[in-house]
Amino acid sequence: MLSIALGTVIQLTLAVLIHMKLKGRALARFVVYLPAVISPLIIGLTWNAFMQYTGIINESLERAGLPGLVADWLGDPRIVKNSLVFINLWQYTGIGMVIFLAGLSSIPQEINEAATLDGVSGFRKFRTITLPLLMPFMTIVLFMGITGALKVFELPFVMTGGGPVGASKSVVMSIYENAFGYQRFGVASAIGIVFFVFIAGVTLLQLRMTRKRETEY
Amino acid sequence: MTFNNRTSRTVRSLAYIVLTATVVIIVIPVLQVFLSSFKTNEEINRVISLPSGFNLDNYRTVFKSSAAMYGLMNSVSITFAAMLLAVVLSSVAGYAIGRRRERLFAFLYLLFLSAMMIPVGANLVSLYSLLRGLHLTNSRLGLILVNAAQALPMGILLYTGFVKTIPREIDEASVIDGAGYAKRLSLVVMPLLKPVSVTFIVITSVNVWNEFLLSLLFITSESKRTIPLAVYTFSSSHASDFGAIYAMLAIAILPPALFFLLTQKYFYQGMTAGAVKG
Repeated sequence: MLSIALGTVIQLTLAVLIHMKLKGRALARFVVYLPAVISPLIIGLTWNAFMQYTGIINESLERAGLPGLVADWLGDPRIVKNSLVFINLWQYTGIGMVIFLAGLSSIPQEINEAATLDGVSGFRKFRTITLPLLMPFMTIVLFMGITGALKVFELPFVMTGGGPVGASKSVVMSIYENAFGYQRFGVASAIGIVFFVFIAGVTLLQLRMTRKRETEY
Repeated sequence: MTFNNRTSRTVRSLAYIVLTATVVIIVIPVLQVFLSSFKTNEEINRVISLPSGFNLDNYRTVFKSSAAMYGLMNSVSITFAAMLLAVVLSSVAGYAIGRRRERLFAFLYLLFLSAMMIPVGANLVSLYSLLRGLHLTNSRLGLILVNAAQALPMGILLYTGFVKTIPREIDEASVIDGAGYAKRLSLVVMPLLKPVSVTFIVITSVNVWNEFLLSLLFITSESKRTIPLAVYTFSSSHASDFGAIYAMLAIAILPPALFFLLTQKYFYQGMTAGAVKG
């Protein structure tokens, strides 16, 4: 949950920054969205090289004189989940950003001007005007983030195999293992149904909660 | 957002720093794949290093194994066929749902959309027994059908929304001119649906292209593997030949990256269109 909140904040920040009409924003938008069109399987294999114990991250930390930060990113049951969450976030940040961007450009210019005339500016303007008007987009981004995170399969599959000791096993992975690893089709179907009900429930709750906070103008 | 006072400069440079940092974090892993694909294995073991030159041995290994060729060819044909099927089916369905006012069509619309809530993972077992019953396991046709089915709800959502914005008078005019149902659909309606078709194809074809779980489940013979599956099996069979794996990854990253570069505009539009209506 925390990771989704964090992800949303990052996405929103990036969208606001890109919306500032800086030079090179088209390039930034392209690069940030790029990982989202590449298969998560390939992303997982790519990141493997970084997160191994002798991988690039640890090696860089050693060289930067920070051996205290060296960790077994994929082998430590306490860390592995965070590593995968980070990669998932790294890959899909662009989608949320693009949706927020669309939201930002849908806010009528007059509203911004009126606020400036009333002497509201900077962060206060963002909190009282921009953010409420972005709520419908917030619904979408949160919804996509939650369901996307629940459906993760490829990352743990290629990076950790669900291990160590099941610390990074996702729902889809355990369905797959039960059905096609242990031939327990009944168990797999049951997990599948619970999974579906859960996702449907989360979606409905999510929609109801965020819709209430949407503002009309 | 416009800034016209003195703080604007600091805010701007801060924004530049954050954006640049993000871009760097995203580019490094991708760059690392391409650089490593030109390294020898001995160079890859020295983790942080640049390749000594354009060493193409890794690419030679990859093309010798034919995995990449099969993977690319299968992915292209499966994506193409699945998208064709999805476009035809969902545009016709969307047209009917968008035009008819009967309750039945409103119900059908909800039924189609509710399929979006069912994750593929939850369907794994029933899909598998369905395809096995139809003798469509280890078959490209099976993958095409499943992928097309996966794409339908999104397609119906987009087409229905779009059809509602086309004035009815256009349909009626074509009826008066004597066009039958088939003619009206193919000569009048389809051309009008072109913008939404482009959006739909661009967004969904990436999903079909990247689909891995189902191919892993259904495809067993090498000649039928899609590119993600080919990469996966290649990386386990060449587990110690890192250079070759990186070359394979580079080959797999390029097509979607190029595709995205050329169709960016539609991605941004489509993400928004699909999201706002959904």
